[in-house]
Amino acid sequence: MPPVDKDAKISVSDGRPRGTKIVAHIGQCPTPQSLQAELDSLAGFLDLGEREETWEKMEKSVIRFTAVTRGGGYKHVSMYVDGVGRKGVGPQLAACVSFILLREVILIG
Amino acid sequence: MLSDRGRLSGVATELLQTLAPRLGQAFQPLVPVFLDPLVKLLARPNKVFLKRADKCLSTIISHCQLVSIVVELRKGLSDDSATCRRGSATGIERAMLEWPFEILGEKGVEKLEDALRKMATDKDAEVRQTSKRIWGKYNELWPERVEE
Repeated sequence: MPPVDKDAKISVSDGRPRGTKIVAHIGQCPTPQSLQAELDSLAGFLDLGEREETWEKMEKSVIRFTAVTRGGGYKHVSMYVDGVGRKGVGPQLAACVSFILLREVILIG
Repeated sequence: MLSDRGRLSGVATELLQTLAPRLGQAFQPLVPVFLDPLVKLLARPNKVFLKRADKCLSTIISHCQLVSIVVELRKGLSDDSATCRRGSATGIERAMLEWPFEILGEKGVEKLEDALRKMATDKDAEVRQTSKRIWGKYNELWPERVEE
């Protein structure tokens, strides 16, 4: 057996090709910047405007943000509260909860 | 189409149920944003939405314990829908049972008294029953105000 080289670098192959980036698990927001990126993404989807064809995208973006919350994104408290509040995505989220927009669509249709 | 839209409402309500216990009292600035649509959801004739709104409100009331929540629920007592008035009354009862009474403060007690007066004369029997239970608790906590 060859002698053990204590200074050798140990690499563990997990089957990924070399150079593959390991993406952080959805929901982890270790920095305020990462939370801001998630809030901006959520806002982007909610700003699409509510139509039959956008419901699923909006739904998925809200589910993702719920995972962000569970993962600790809320710990950046001021930024989180501002982000989901009146000046952030709050009004759009409130509209998602209620059915005001749907009622308007049905009346016009 | 309605079920797709219903799912969107469901996931949005789920988000509120997730963030409310984690924020606790920090939920304060979000009360005027989210309590109104939740209370309006109590007026829906659909049992699924009603149950969803009820569960979400219960979570917020239990974990956030803010006087402004009672203010929003009081508005629900004036709704035309009996289910909305019942849900709002139940919410106020939950606050009375779970919150340390110091949380209400003078302003909160006044809002509570206003809500009690409204509930006591409601045309719905269930709302009036709820008001009697709240009245019993109110008597225990503030006997000096009962005489006033």
